[in-house]
Amino acid sequence: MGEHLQPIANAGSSSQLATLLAHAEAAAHLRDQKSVAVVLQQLETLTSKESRANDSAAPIEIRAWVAFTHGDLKDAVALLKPLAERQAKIGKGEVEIPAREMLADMLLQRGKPAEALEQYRQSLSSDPNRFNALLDAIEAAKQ
Amino acid sequence: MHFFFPCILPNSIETSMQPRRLLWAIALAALLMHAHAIAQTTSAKMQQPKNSSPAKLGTVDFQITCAPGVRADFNRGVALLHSFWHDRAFEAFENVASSDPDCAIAYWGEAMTHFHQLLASPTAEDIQAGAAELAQADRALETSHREASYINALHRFFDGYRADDYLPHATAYSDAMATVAKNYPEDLEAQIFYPLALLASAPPNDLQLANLRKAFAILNPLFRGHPNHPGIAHYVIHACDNPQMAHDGLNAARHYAQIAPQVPHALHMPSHIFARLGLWQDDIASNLASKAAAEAAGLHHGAENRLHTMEFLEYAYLQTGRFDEAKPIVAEAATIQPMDVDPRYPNMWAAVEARYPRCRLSKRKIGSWASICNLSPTQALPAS
Repeated sequence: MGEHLQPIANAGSSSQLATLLAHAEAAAHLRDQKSVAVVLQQLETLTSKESRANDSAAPIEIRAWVAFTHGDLKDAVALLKPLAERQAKIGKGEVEIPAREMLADMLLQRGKPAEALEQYRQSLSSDPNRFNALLDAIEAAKQ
Repeated sequence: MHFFFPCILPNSIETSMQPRRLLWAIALAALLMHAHAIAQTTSAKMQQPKNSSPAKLGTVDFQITCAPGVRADFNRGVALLHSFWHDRAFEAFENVASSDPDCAIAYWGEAMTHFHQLLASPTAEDIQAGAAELAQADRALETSHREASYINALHRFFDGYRADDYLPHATAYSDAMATVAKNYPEDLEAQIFYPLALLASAPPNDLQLANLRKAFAILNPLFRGHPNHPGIAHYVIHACDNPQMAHDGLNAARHYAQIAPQVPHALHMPSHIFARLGLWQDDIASNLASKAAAEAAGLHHGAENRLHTMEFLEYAYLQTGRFDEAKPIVAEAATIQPMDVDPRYPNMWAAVEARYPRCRLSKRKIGSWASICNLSPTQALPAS
């Protein structure tokens, strides 16, 4: 499946961003600094060509995963928190992952289960019944 | 059928470690049992429309001054407009205009199909077509003050429109429709087209959702008295498509599909509320029905309808652990050709992203981060 997950050259910016976000998050989980640098470069190229691409959640989330991979949890949280607060009011994109759930994932991975659990709780209150949020909240509760 | 996960986690979850674990274990068990249960029930809900032309579009009675013979076609056009089937609505209004060329409001109807509020912004061609149709409306002789006020309101949107001008023009139209609604309080359609205009002109950064709340406050009381009107139920759903108001839209979401059961958008739109509330089984049933309607022979839907239902299906399957059913959706999306997608809806074409596996959602069953994302790990992946 991996070989399919490349941005299509002529696809619209939202399709490109979906792929870049997947790359950024995967690279972050793999602690792969080289790959997040590539993703960041691709993001800059895309947004410099099409400034409207910056209006969606994905560029913020990509930059947060890049910061996270570089060990800057504080920067990543600072990027995601305003987005999460905005999404709690007006909603996330219809088939997207909530920004607050990403925030919780980061906290859990950095050994902060109590803070992560609180973020999962808030995320599940605006976006209920999400499979991964429930599973990872169990993880956080166990720790 | 009605199954609820804990939408808000119990407070006790924060008090001690053991009960917290137990609650989560219960939540997880419920989730997995639920996934199994809906796998058995959803397929029975799929219905393939048999007629080549949608007969049931809901009840619309838009009073017009034109020849009595064109009323049925006109109301059909308005009903289609309310369910966002703009190509078919245009055909209905075109029929009215060809039977009664002096019927001014028929050209208003045609122009409304080029506005397509709440979908992609109009293209330059849409603006040109809409302006030409309004010019025809201005020249036509049969009209009333009330009809003329609809036409004049729509001029506020089309006149002098340039690319990226959407919000100010949509707001000017909404303000004009507020006056129409105020001047004709007995005109039900004015009380419906005005809140639609409020939704279409909602500022994207308004965290208080002022336009959406105002639209809901107008529409919701009307819903009780007019439960079969396609616009009221439809626009209540759009107004409530956010975490703050989603619960208020559930009743409309449960009814809209029955009002226009062969219209792909009417079958799909309730799933926006179901997805907001995490009612995945309803979300899946809604999109399977919409996808089947969009694939019905003879109805000539653009593939954008199918793509949009497919990304919703993929997402909902993943939320219920039905990974084996999510996977073929990705492959199916890849078979859709760009030429089959209406170019006026570029945002819907972006839905082709469904062809990509969603890493975060699917990692547990489909593969590791590395295999999904085609990245060379520099460090071994810790077990998750």
